[in-house]
Amino acid sequence: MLQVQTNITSVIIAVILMVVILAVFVLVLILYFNNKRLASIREKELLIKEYNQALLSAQLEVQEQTMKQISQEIHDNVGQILSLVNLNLKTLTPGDSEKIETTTKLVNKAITDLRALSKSLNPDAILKIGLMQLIKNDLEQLQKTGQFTTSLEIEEEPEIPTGKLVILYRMIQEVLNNIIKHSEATAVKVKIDSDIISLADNGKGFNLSDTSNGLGLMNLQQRAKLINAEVKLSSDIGKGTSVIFSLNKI
Amino acid sequence: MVVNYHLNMNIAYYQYLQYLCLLAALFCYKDLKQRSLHLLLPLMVVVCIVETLAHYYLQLGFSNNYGIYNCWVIASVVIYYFIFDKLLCFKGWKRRLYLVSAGVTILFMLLEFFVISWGKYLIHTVIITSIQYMLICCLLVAQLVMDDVQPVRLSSHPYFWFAAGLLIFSAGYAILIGLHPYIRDNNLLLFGKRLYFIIGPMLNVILYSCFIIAIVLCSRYKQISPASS
Repeated sequence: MLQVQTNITSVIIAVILMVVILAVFVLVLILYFNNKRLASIREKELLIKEYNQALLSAQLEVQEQTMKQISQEIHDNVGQILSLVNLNLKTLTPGDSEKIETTTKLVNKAITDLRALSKSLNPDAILKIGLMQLIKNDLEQLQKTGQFTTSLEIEEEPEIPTGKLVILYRMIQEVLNNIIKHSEATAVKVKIDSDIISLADNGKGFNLSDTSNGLGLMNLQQRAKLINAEVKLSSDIGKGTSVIFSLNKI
Repeated sequence: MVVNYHLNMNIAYYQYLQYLCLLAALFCYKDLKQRSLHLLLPLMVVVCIVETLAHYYLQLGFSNNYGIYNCWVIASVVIYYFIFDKLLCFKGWKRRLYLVSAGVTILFMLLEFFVISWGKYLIHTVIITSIQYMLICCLLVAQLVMDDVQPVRLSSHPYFWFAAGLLIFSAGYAILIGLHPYIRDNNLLLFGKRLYFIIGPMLNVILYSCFIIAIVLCSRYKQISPASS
């Protein structure tokens, strides 16, 4: 009888313990998954913050770049034209219709150039002008320096969300700046397809394993990650460099 | 005839926790009010009074302490329903459903108290309410987890500890009370004590420890919120 009672007692204790342990287990499980969910929310918030910071920084850099371009444009182009107009006006004699016509043309050119500058001052210029036109403008600028021959092939225009456009354009600008500063190249080729943008030069190239180049590449890759793009860089000493942006995940 | 009762001043170990919980609720009443948990104070007052009276029922002239515990059941059921109503913040049909189920349970409880089991412990009410508490606690935890507007760390949220304590307590208590007549009639013992007097206090320790944590977290929430806002 006592043995039976002991057995029943044990069963009751075991059942109660099992139920209590089950309740504790469920609560711990909920706690664990809630913590994981919170961590993922925080990670997402951090990514959004990083993305916004990078976007802001890219916008600032583009703005800075644009300002430099404007300053150069005023100094080298409009400034020169107006100096020439000033010289023409000083040396103008009555009845010199040819000089008047030339001066009028020069003034018109100055007005056109100033209008173009005014457009580029608009902060939404990148969105309004469009990526293809911006790349075209940049290549024309390079061509104007007389140090580079440039070519642009557009097979199909990629569709890029407006929020990611600024970052992508900034990355392309960075590659072009690196070509100007470090490549010692004479030719720059840009190819654009629906999901790829590639930039290649015929410069001196560099060793990819050289750590001194790592920072710039890392910077490019970080920005690419923000917009879900991929960057592939290939270079050989003496054989130029090419950078390929894969845009199929954007 | 003069009956000279010798008062046994030894109280059960879990009762210290109940008094501690009452003190914590008293000191943190304002914080509890901010978190809609202020009804823990009357609940703890009832618990402490009932447990103390039930402990000295012989000296007070009762033949058993079922009547005293029945008072606790009635008072605690009503208070718990009010607490859950505040915490769940149900609206519309959900609230109507909640109020109807609470009303039906209270009616059943009164019926059992006055008609079915007069002078006996309200076993059926306790089992029904324990199952209800378990369901409501799960709902409360689910509400906390699924809050996408303001995601919370459960381990630092007072509602979680309140629900967790009550869920574990109710799960164990429902079985224990369900088997109460069987344990009593067959005199099931463990370490020379009735099973009920071994497991019951352990569940009480879990419940009131969780309540104390919930109360402390309520006061911590108040300290944290101004800085974080």
